[in-house]
Amino acid sequence: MIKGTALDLAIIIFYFLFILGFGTFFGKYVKSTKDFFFGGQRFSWWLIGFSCVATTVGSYSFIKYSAVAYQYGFSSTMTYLNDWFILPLFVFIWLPIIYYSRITSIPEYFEKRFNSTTRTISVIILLIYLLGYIGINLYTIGVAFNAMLGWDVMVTAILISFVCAVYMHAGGQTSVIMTDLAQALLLLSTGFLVFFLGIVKIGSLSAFWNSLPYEFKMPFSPFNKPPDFNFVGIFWQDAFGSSMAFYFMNQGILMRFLSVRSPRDGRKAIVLVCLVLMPLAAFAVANAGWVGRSMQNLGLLSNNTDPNHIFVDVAFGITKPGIFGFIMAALIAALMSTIDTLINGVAAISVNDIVKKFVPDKEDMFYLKWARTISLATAVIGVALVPLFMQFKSIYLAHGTFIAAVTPPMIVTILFGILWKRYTTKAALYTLVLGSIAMLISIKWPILLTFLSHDVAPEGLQYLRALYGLIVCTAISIGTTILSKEKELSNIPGLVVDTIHEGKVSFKGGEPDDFDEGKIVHCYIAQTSEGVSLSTKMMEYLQAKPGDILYIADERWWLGGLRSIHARAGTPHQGVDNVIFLGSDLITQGNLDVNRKVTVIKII
Amino acid sequence: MNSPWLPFIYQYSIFTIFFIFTTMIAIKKDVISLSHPTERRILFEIIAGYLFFIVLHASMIIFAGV
Repeated sequence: MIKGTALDLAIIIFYFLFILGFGTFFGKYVKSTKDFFFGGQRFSWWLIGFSCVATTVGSYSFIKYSAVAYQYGFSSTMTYLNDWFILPLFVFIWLPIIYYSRITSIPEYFEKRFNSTTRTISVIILLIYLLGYIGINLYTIGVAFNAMLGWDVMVTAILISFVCAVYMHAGGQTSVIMTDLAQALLLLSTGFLVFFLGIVKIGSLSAFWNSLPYEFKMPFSPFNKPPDFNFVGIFWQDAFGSSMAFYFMNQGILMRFLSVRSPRDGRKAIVLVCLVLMPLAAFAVANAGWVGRSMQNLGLLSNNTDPNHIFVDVAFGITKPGIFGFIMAALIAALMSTIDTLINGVAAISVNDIVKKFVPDKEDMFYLKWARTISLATAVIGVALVPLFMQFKSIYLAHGTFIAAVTPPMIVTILFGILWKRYTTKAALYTLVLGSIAMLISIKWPILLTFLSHDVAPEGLQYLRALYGLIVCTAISIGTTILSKEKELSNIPGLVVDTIHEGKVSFKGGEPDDFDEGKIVHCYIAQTSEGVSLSTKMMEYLQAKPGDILYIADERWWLGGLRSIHARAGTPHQGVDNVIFLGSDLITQGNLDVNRKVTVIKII
Repeated sequence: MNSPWLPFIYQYSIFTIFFIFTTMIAIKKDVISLSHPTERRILFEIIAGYLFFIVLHASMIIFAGV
């Protein structure tokens, strides 16, 4: 049955046009590839936090987690509530490495840490990962629209990828981050709206709670069953493997954290994501399934509902015309905010790791044109991959199988690369190549996974491929490292935990002082020919010295750093305390308004 | 093998090993300085957040039967 009215369709079309216009608007802030890929490294922690969540929550999330929530209950939240364990590694080690070493892509890290061959291999693996992710998202939205409006899956995929590619083409990372804020707010609020309307339909919160069986309310699924949603398989594939892949090898997320104005803001952003936004997202994406199960137990929903259609069916069953369109617009928001990041990630890798390698030393505008063209081409390839994922039995299976098969060699190489100074180039190379071959062999002969089965039935073993990959790749890494010669530490400044200090020295061009107390000063701008000069008193308050890197932003916090610039502090002036002398080029570059006050903080 | 606490214990055993291992490396390699109040506070917040999720999951198991 086709669901939705003309009003619903009108709201969806309005939303498409709104995002298209909103995203394209930010094209005016893009003046270089640095702006296109990293938004000029200027954004505030809260903007990056919301953007990360909008990226995490794809359209597949609503469909996939609602489906498992409907079948298995509150355990559908287990993959979104498990990211905190990576915090020490991410905050203390990975974030300083990527920020201070000024890498622009994961493959670039591989070249600096190891050699150009590992870079090439990682480009191939990452492009498979990112393009596959785009294909899955487009397939999911196609399934949702097919259930709702009867549209063909491919038609929906083409339409949505076109809209994303157009605003990405114009605005790059700035468009991604700004549209993600709008989309994250929309999809989170929609999740709560579905729950509220569901409870209204059911009658009360206690009726909802009492209609659900004991095992349905468990935060984890049973240890080793059922085959398609057992705890141990999901733990290794999703909670461990997918989380590690998301935060450490997803180019889109890497670029988010390279877009923050300082590592301090990066820390705040990851805490916001893991502690607040991910739990909210876990609730938002899954509760349609819980509501659906409760409605079914109370006789308000058919017993024959397809789990993959539960989100659309529940949304349709509890809303009136117009609101249903709003909810479907949120589904599109979830999709677009994920795909735009991935498209930007593919463009970054393609330009930085392929185009610049074959056509070096061109002007920045040349590479910017390439970035925009690749964004369009990526959308086309994503659409072409949709038929591949249509062959899987369920969206959860398609996603899980794909992630478990592709990510372990990269994850293990990155982890050893940043944590173990003795880890050698040969070990990285063998891990990427032999690890990937081992993953392919396990797909051909799944019997290899049985020794890790944890008594999971054979049809559920594909999730444990992630554990198999982690073990095999770890063994290859350690074995090869022991048998090969390590790289001199002086050759890898800032790229391994032992040399983070050297990375900071290189970033600043002098001894770093980054014990950031979060001190801020507010100043009026006085335009000058070049450079930056604060008063002596302000410099003392910030504990800054000439040569330190400052961050200067429009004082309107809600701009999130859209109008801002990094610059090196010059000699202090002896004039009025709350005045900053700023070069006209910096004012233009940072889109600053000379009639407004700015805030200044010391970065390093 | 069907105790509701088994997944909880399995997950937090592995996560805790990983959490402590990476924290100890950061301290040992002087990436964080425990003598500095700001960095001490960040470490405390991260540990507190980890404990929060342990308590949250334990509470969900306990309250499932209510």
